[in-house]
Amino acid sequence: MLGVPTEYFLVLSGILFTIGVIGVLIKRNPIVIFMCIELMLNAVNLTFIALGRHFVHVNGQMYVIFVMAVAAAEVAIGLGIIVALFRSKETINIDEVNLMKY
Amino acid sequence: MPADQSSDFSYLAVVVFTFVGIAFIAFNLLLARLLSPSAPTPEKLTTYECGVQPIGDAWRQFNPRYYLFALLFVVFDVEAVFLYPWAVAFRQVGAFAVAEMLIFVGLLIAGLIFAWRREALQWE
Amino acid sequence: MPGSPTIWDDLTLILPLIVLWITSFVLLLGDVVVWKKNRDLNPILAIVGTLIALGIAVYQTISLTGDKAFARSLNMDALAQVSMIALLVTGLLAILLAWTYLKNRGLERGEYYPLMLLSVSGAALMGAANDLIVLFIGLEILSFALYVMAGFSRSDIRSEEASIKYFLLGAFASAFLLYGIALVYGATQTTQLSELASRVHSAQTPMLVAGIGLLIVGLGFKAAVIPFHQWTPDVYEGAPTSVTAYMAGAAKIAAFVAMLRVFDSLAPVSSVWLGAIQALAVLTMVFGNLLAIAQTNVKRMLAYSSIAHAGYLMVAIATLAHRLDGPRGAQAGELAMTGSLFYLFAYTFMTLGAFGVLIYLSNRGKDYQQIEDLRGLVRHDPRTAYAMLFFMLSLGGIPPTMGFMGKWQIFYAALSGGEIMLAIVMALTSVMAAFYYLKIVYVMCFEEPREAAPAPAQFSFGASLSVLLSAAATILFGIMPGLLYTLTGLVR
Repeated sequence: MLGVPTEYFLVLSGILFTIGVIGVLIKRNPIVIFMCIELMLNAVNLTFIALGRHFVHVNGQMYVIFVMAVAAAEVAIGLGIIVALFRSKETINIDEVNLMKY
Repeated sequence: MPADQSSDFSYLAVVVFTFVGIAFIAFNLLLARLLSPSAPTPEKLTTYECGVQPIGDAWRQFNPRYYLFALLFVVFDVEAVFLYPWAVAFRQVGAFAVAEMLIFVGLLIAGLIFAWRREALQWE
Repeated sequence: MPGSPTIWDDLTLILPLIVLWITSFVLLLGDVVVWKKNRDLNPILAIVGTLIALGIAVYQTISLTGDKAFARSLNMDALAQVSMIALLVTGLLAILLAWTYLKNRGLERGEYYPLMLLSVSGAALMGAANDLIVLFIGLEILSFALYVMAGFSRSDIRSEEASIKYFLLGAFASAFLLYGIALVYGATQTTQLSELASRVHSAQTPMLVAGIGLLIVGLGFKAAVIPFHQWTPDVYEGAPTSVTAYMAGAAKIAAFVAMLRVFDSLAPVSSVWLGAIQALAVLTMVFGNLLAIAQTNVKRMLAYSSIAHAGYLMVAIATLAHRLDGPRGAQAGELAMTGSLFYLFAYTFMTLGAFGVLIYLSNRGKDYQQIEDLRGLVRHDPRTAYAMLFFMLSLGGIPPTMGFMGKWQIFYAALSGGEIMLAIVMALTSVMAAFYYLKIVYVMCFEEPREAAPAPAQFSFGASLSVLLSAAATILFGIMPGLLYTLTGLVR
């Protein structure tokens, strides 16, 4: 791994982030949307690690642990909301959740 | 860009390995297809030769209730991520680290008690 | 902590937050283990905890004990402490409102108050962040609690819908914010705001520009700035009214204090972001006010009004860009800083007051949401109608009220900072805004009620006190703004 330049990691994480963004925009199932958001967060984690390695800072890796904690809490809350939605509506299709319109 | 870690790592090896790997598997599958006798019976074509007959398709929606357990799991799963660096740096940081980790685990236990008393752990 | 003040000094600086955390855990466990089903103990304990925290925060602000804490990741300066006071006051008023509202709607579940206190602590962390990562974590603590609270009424499908929309869009936006932080870190090798200020000028790379852009998207979402506002009306309408009231105040304060901090540090590269902020400010002011006119639901109208107010605050952020352009710019920057804090105080009082009136009326056996429901209110409940009148005048920025004083300060700052165009748009859109606020006043005071109003079920202590306090503050600080200047003036 030692020879891989930092730019490669940054480009990769940019691509992963973009895939996540596109997924959020085109998918209709909240769980899949949610997975795409997690992909975005993990792309950022990769950026942090790559930059931390490049600058020889320990900070970069430290931030990743913070972000992972935040992401775990986000999973817990997101799944909780989705379960609650399913209980009262028996569907989780995002298109059917549109009582309020602009 | 610091002149880091010179680029003596060659991607050629990766490419060669990829092709060798694909060729190896393709060759063996082809060989098996050519050499083995083929005598399919209905019994042999079932997914499991013994046990309960599978009903329906494997591609079906799971009951979202499973997610309730998944989310309780996730919380304690990440706890382990924190415990590892803590355990590694434990000797250098000392008593302060013990107090911090006790608070952290205590908070998670408080959450678990709350979930338990609210009967979140029961299958309805 | 080697090389810095001891851990106890750091902990003392965040004592108000620690009080909030302890209170919320006592409430959380107490409700399920010790005093099950005691409905009134939860809000009372929450109020006691918030008051203690508020007392400590006021004491620390007056004695000016502020300093950087936790290896410079927190900056407990006057801005942090004054915004913490604003947030604790918001929390206090919101707890009083929730006390009444949850009782009237049969939603009294124990986790409401712990969630609210934790979100106040997250918002305060955001306001005190000297490190972008701490800002992110504070934002997430604030938001997570709000996502759950928005869906608190589980029997109401609109509340559920508000919750999932808010959650998905909020998580999406915070991922952008985080990527922005990573890119700024990549461009400057630091995430500390105080370091950033000295480094950004020599690090103007495309990476920095992209990072700042993503920061604007992430923070703009939280602050409900057009075009990142789509969640606002739905969430404001769907969430239980007590949550909407709290969210409107707290999220706005946290988002704008964080923005003030971030863009204050980024002032050396203001050429990168000033144009974007100006464009967002104009869009937000114009369309926020235009869309509010068409609304028939008071909660939705107040949602667009909150967007419009975000636009006025963006004018203050744009003015900050001129902080380094000579003495006149520096003065304008200071004015923008103190003015936006004053405005945030004003906004929280008048918005919580307006939602408080809706909550106060909810003990008549139905949920008051439509403008129609307020028709002829002055006939059967004159005192409530006059309170609402005051909040509407204040939101509209009509002179003797606090809303006017706040708007005037930002307007003046923009003029002296050279943001003439923004100041003009601000004045014009304020005139436009008066239209829909006065429409409610007209419906309340000059139209006859359609039907006999149902008699109030019982006197509700919480909402009455909250509305009374908000009204008193709106009038008092409108007539004597100097009382509040002594507090907001510390921030310079």
